Amino acid sequence: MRIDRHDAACAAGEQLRIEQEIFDALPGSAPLLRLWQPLPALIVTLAEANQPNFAVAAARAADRGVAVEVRRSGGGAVCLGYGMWVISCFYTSVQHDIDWSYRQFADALIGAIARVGITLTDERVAGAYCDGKFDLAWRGLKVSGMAQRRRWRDGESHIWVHAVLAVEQESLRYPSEVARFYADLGSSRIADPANTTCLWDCMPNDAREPGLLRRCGDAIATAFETGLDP
Amino acid sequence: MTDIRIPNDLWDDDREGVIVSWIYKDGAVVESGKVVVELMVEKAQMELSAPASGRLTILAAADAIVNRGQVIGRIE
Repeated sequence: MRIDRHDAACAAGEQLRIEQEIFDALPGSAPLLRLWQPLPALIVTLAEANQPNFAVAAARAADRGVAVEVRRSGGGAVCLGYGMWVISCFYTSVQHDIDWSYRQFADALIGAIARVGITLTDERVAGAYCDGKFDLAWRGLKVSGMAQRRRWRDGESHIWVHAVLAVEQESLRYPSEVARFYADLGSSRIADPANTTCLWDCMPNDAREPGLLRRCGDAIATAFETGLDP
Repeated sequence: MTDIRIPNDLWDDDREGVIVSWIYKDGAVVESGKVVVELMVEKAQMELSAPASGRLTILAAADAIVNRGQVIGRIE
């Protein structure tokens, strides 16, 4: 799988527009893995953006220095920021099962993170932001979540599966933005920051070394370059 | 007449999906291969394309709960 990696922090809106173009052009240059570090941004779903209080909630987030962008994959709001990786995988397949795509992606990520010494599990972390069946967790706390966009055309599925991975401690500043957004939106949806953690906090004290974000990026790139066969 | 059907193999159990939106209005003329409807299941948003060209009849409106294999529209 081809890898497109960006280690400098990127504006999420611009990256989402690039990825939409890649999805629209599938099969194009797929299979492709994109790996980028985000600037702070609250990524909400189209359904959330259609809520009556959205403009007010988005303006308040902007006042706190968090840009708001809309995505068209499923789930709920996610807040990106420093200390994270966004991982996006594009390919086409005659295998149409959404769980198959999640499983492939989750297994590759779990394998990659194992290379830096952390064992994650896939399980729904109820009450975390954007919770879903294929959350990646450590001791019941969410470290990563994933979602998909798919297009079914002429018997073939065009697939864009993506995830956000919380690596460094500064990433833990952002889940509370989702809870604030829901409060401003007047939504009853729960996104409790206490249900999340980051890879740094999963490591034993004597194993913590600077450069974890880069090492995770290296491990993910290697895992997908050699290990995923869509 | 051609059915717009949710493929049976989109997911592997009895979970329900939801129609997110129809791209065209009921009665619109659509072109084969164009995306006509978006649906969602398990954080996966899926687009289905028109299987034929013709006039669209919507059988399951936006926000309707749907199952795999279900006919959600027709093109005549």
